Amino acid sequence: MYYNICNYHKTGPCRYRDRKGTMSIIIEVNQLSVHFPLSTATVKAVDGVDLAVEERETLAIIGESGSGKSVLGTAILGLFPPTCTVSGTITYEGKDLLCLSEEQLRSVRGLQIAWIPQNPASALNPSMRTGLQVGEPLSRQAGWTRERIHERVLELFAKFRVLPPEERSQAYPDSYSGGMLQRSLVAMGTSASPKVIIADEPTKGVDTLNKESIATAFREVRNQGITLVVITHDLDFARELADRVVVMYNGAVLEISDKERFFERPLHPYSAGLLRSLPENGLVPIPGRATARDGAFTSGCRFRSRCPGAGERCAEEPPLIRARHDDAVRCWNYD
Amino acid sequence: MNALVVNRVLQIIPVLIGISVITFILIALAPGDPAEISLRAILDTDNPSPQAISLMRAEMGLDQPYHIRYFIWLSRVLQGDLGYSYISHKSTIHEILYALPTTFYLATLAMAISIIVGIPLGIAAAVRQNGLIDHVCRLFSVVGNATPEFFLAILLLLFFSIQLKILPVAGSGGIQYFILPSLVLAVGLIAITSRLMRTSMLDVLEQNYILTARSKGLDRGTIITRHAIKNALLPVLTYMGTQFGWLFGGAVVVESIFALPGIGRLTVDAVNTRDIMVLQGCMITFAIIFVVVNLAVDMSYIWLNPAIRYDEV
Repeated sequence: MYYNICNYHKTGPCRYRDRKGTMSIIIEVNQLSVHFPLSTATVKAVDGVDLAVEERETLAIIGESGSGKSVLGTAILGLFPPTCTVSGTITYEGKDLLCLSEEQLRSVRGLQIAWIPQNPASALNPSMRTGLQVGEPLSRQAGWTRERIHERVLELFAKFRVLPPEERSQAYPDSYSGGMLQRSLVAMGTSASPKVIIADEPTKGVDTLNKESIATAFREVRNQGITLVVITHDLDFARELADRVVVMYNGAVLEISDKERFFERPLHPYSAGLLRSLPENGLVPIPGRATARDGAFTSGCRFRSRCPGAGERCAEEPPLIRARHDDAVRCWNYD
Repeated sequence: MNALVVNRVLQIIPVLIGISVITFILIALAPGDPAEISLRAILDTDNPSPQAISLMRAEMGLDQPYHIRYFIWLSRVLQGDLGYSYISHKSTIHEILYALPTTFYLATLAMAISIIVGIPLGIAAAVRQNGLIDHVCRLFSVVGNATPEFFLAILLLLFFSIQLKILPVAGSGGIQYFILPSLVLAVGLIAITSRLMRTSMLDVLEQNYILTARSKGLDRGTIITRHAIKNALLPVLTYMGTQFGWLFGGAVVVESIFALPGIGRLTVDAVNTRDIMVLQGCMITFAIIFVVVNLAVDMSYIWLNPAIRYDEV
């Protein structure tokens, strides 16, 4: 009841349709829950998430490790770990992806919605030439011969500065540097010109220089008109790239804000805490620790135990409340 | 990569020296007087005369101290002379070269059978984890592993040679003489290979790059053939490689049962008659085969795992 999509729409009925006039929703996640039943407790990796991704926007999903953002990302591709239970809907172009057969899902993966995995070093097959792997999504489309795919891969490598393209495409992933590997993963994601790309932690473990080259690669993707969902805990990267920011905590969405407004004045106390923990804002840590993993969270606001302004009302979980313009927040302060 | 190969080849030398020392010590420690035991076989008598024994001791060099005997033997080996058999009076090299093809044929056949059966079995068991094939595979590996070679050999002989009379009992000649022996050798190997391949496949299927392949919309068949099998083969291949040497050891039992004139039987005969030079020659041959096979396995790593290709990148 509390985190019901209806509540959200009551507070802002025409939220998406009239935004910037031509925007339309490409992916709509509705009440999505991905739970892992363990012998002692159920880990709620994703717990009742409502989210709408607009066409051609860049949406950054930020949160700490364990907030459920990666599970949410792979869920959009219909990829779930074997032991989990799933409920809710993920609508893409009018179809609920969770109701599609594996066969139908395969026609979406890579071609319509592509994924850029995290940890480039382990995300590529170590015994297959990188060029072949980057062009692999294309091999599933009719009319793409081996030669044509190779040409396309060389174009992509040149575009995303994986140089020299011919030599790099023949090399194995282990001979790549971290930044170059990440850029070839971006090339792989875009190879079949999908409508949506979901990128999981593209800047994890990458130094500043390489981060800049990865940001450039992603800007390139955005300029092609591809909808981007960037899952990251890198606030700088989100600030550089995103149109909107979604904050996740313990499996739930706490805030959805326009990027400018988010970094100017975050709505949720947790978002404010995240921004205060940035080095340029004084490196102030958020007290306590996330409770998703140890299952200590039972009811009420998920951030209650760490929130400086928690009150009696927070024993009840707040719904997503429209706070300003199109921004929404899951906090009673804005009721 | 060349440096890698040279390095590996040079490592063979100390290994071979070590093995030759150990065999020499073991033979020296074996109970009984080698000269007397040899003479019993040569003269076909239980009590050879003391004069004959002392002559034989001199011929075998047993009157020399151990370390002198070792260095005499080593210097001859380095000149390419492995000595001769006191029984047949043929050169050791001749005996070994005559026996080696039989064993090589046997081991290769056994290896081929276990690869052809074991690896697909392991893949099938992993792909359909806890399915029927997986259970059958598990049962087979427990039974196959627990059954001693000589027992399995006797069972197969009773069934195929005595009951059905479709395969020869023993001896050598065409391929029909090799079917049962190689099958016996293969069973134990299939049992382990299939389990190893299964574990390795399951491990690979959990890897991140398999998730990447799935995110590209590839079908299960493509993911398994193109992304999983080659990576899963690596640890299995290592094991198979070392087992090729082990097959030569297993050939000792199997060749004796099926009366195949291979190096395994030559070794057993040499032990029984204390034909020291032939025995040492056989041991060195086993060692060389083992080491060369391991070298080949290392080289095949390079093909399977580009991360080991040191200077190519």
